[in-house]
Amino acid sequence: MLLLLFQIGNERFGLDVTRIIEVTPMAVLKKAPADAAHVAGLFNYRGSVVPVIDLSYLLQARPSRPRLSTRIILVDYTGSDSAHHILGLLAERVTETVACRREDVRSPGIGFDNAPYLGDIIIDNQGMIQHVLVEQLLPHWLQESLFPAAKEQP
Amino acid sequence: MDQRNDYRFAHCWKKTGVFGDGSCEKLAATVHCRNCQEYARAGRSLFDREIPQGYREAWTALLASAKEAEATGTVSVVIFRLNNEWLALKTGFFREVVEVRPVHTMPFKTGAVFKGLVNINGELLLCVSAAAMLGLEEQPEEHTTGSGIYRRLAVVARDAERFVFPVDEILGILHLSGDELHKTPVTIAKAPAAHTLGVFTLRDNTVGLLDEDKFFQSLQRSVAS
Repeated sequence: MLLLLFQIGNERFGLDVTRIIEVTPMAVLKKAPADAAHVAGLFNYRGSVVPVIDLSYLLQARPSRPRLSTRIILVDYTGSDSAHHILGLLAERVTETVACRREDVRSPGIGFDNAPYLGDIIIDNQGMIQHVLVEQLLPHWLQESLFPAAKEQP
Repeated sequence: MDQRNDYRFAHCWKKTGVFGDGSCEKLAATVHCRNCQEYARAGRSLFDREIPQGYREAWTALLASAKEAEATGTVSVVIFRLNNEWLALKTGFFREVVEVRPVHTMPFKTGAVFKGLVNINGELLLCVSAAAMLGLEEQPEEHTTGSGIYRRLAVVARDAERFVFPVDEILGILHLSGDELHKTPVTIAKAPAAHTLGVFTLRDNTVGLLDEDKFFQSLQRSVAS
């Protein structure tokens, strides 16, 4: 499994690259009147309006800093209604990918009930990387507000 | 940011690394600092700089426009000139292009089409005049062999068969997409037309794309007799 790494403070997290469409530099985001504070805003991605989630805010309750390495990771998000959407994930220090072997993947042992998106932990020579599960990032109510079209479909 | 993790201040490669006194213990395993994790991390830390002014705005505009996609389904061809005729052959059949060198004639064999043997990297290969084979007569030179125009020997191969033919000029490699290629006009019954898959225009010149099956068959026939 190839993971795209991002960092919050000194903690490293990884996203499965098979879900990633493109990684772009930080764009100007239009503030969206969303109920969730970790929704950073909306931006025009190649003609379609894409919501952006700030992963730094989601995981450690502080917004991503404006750095060159702070990037928007565009992922193919399959909603709970199995419709495909493009979702932007804002994260810091998106500069590295890591290929990890199956035997380096450990289950964290404890469940994160309020953070179902935190998956297995991968151990490499620099420490631990936590796998972030893209599909679990948005609770159902947030999916409905970010992708309103999904609500209209039966 | 804590000082320990800020590699911009470390510069260990200038102190103990290959750009310094070379006393770093890691050098025994990594040989050069560029193979070292510290060096890579210091490079990545350059991305931790503040975003320059106008950067976000520029990227916002760039991302809003549709992505430029390269044309798919292109075929790579080498374009060359025989007398006054521009022709192209798929790049995959080219082995190399070399400078003009002596062609050793073979008594009773050498003719207008088959020229003889030529030494290519120590191997003797058959040299054929493709111009004569395709019936392209010598014409008064429109293209002078002036600066930037050089005669070359093209080495082509298909399967195990290799041939060398002189060309008057090599223009280069072009990625040709399918819709650029037009059918050869049927009224042209000359040999080069019969050997082409189609024609395309390049800088006011009409270039014929050679049909590799027919071209190699003709090459074989020209040396068989």
